[in-house]
Amino acid sequence: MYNMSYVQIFRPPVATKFMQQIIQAHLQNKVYNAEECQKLSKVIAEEIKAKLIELELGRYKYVVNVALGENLGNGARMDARCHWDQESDGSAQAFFPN
Amino acid sequence: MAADDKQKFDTKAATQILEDAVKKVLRDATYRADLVPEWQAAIYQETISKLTHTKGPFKYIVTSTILESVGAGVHMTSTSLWDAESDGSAFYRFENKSLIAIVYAFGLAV
Repeated sequence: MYNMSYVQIFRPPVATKFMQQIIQAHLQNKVYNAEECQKLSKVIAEEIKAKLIELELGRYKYVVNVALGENLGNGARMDARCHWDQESDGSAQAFFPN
Repeated sequence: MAADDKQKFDTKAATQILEDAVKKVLRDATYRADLVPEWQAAIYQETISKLTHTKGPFKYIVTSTILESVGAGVHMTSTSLWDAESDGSAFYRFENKSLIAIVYAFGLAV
């Protein structure tokens, strides 16, 4: 078991903030286009992962999921459930509709 | 720790677990916004309990997306920073006339 006292903890609000900035910057005036959105979802995911690596929380592993959908007014819900260590692990979410 | 002590996330087994859970919960379902949280909770219950019984120790993240099927396009991407020797993911996609469900499971070695 590690001694957690000297290790920096992941703070979800920090991640939420830059995630929101990244998706807003990419999607602000975009219209859904199948080909473009396929590339865009990868670009956004990689950018978020790069920002997480910049946080330099050495001990952490990261999983970034991006769902980019066409808005036709259809119902949609994305959720996650985790089995982890509550003291050290966390998740952040960001949402952008247009 | 010797290299062969490291367990590799079993993608095949996890995919089967996801498939069984989703088919069980959504078999004859018609999309209803108010039922979606219940369905997702049922899927998590089925999957996480079975996943934690597979070889470990792993931490798990299970993500589910349920969409009303109206012909809208959707793209899901996942990228990770993990240990490629031990960690992995599985996904299962389910579709019927009224809804689409996409479930991901990620296993990260402790």
